Amino acid sequence: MAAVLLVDDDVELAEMLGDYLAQDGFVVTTLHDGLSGAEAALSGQYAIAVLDVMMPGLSGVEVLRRIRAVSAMPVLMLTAKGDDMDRIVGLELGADDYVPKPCQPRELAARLRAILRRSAPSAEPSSAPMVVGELCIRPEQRLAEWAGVAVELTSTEFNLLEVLARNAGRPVSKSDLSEQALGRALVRFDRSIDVHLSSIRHKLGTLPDGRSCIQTVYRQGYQLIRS
Amino acid sequence: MGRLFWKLFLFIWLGQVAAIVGTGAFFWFEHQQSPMRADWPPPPPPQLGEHRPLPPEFDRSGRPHHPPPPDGNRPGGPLPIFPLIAGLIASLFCAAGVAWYFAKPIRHLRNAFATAAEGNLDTRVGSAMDGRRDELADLGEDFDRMTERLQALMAAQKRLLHDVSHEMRSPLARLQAAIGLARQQPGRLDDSLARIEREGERMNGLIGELLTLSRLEAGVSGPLEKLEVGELLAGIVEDARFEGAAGQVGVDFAASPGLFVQANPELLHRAIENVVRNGLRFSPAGTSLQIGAKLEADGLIHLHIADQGVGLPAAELEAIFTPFYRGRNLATGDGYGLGLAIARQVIATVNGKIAAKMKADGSPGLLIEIVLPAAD
Repeated sequence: MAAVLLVDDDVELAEMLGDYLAQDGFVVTTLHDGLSGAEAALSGQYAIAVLDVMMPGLSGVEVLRRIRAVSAMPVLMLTAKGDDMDRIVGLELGADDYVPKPCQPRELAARLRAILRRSAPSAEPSSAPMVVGELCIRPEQRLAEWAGVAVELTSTEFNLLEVLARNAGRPVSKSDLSEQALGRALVRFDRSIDVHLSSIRHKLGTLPDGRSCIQTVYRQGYQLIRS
Repeated sequence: MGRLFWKLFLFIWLGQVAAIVGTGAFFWFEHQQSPMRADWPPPPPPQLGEHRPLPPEFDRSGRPHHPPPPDGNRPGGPLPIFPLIAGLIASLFCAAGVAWYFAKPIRHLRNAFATAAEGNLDTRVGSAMDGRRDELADLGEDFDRMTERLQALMAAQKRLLHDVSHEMRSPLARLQAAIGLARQQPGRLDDSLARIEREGERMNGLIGELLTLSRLEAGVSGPLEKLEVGELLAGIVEDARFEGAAGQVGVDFAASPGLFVQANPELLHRAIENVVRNGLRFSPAGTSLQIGAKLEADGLIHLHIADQGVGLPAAELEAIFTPFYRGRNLATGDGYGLGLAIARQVIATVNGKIAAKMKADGSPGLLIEIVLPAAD
């Protein structure tokens, strides 16, 4: 079963969440400080890392930054409820999703499963490479290329791009994107999709006329331009 | 230009006009009385600072070679119309200048107050008062001090609110996790319920401490009594010895007899207990906590509570008295993070002082010094 690394400075809480997740079929390791958390995350033993944002010493955001410097492993952030800054910063740095704290352990488990399911290479037969303009997506290898050069995407970013590519030339609504790529319904005022897409735009090249290949369609969502 | 400017302007100008008219009338009248002196050189200009432009014109007007008045009733020569007008104009500028000089800083202040009232406490008037050294400039400085202080207080309140919500969230998160566990593993229901109970108590404790702190900050200190410090400390030490025994921490206690303070017994007990508990918490096993009280030469009672733990970096000595402050490398422990903040407030209500220091002999550990005024 999936190995989960849980990093939270609240020892009791980490213990309880670990207990819950273990019962739910995950193999959980809990750590209580950012430094050892970052080290463990980069050891390659874990399928996903859950990071608490508020930690003394090395904060969750800093741990995420260290992880993202070398690895695209799935990362879920535990953020304080109502603290949009943490959330946006986390997503911008490449977190796959976040769960506001205090959270139901059930929800945490569901999000973990959603991310893990999405980041696993898809076994569908229809996963032939998709080519849209300069962009080429290989779902079976979870690889994206722009003009023949591989693009480093986090698993959530890859999922979003894949959904857009499947619907290239048509706008995809944010709620569809959320359901298909993030595995959960869109919540009001949730800016995750926008942040992820802005990050994808930065990673992909531009069209010959200088525009980004992903366009915002007013009130409808996003569209990958089929050139 | 505001109303104040026009008022000042009008009053100053009217005053000047009255002075001009009065002086003019006096000389004109005098001239009428003694036409014989008309050939004499003009009298020295009147020494009235405000009427600088006035005298020459006025004097010139008094000369006798002017045509005699057409009107028989006014034999002393014509009214000095031209100098009067010149004087009026000059006084107009003078009055405008003076009025502007006073109205301008007041307008600045007013604007500053208006922006401050709208909630923008970044406003400062100091720069607008450049070069002024009078009561208005002092007022501006006071305003700046006030906004600065308000800003600091508001920032502290905001931080407290933020910290409180964060502190409340941790037990809530554990509460939710415990509930989740209870649902998932009904077999361990008792365990989960005990946890839920504990977290509930913890939140209750935290709220209690917060209320105490806010009451103290509002200046509610309860009835004061004359207390014997040694007696008060002895009770706390007894509890501390009991608590410390579990962690093999001893307590050394020495207090001079006959030290009295005027304080609320419950609050002072709590304040000192908080400090002692804090000391115990950071005492490694096998060490001892030293508690002492004596009257120093400055006539104040000095209490010392010194542990032999790792101590604190100098930069954090002051910060430990702020609510929810936790040393960077310390485990969160089981406190609420409010103990020392409450202690400081209590000590402040009896005009005492509390400070964290490094030990004078350089040995490791933290020394908390409480200075209390002695009661007669």
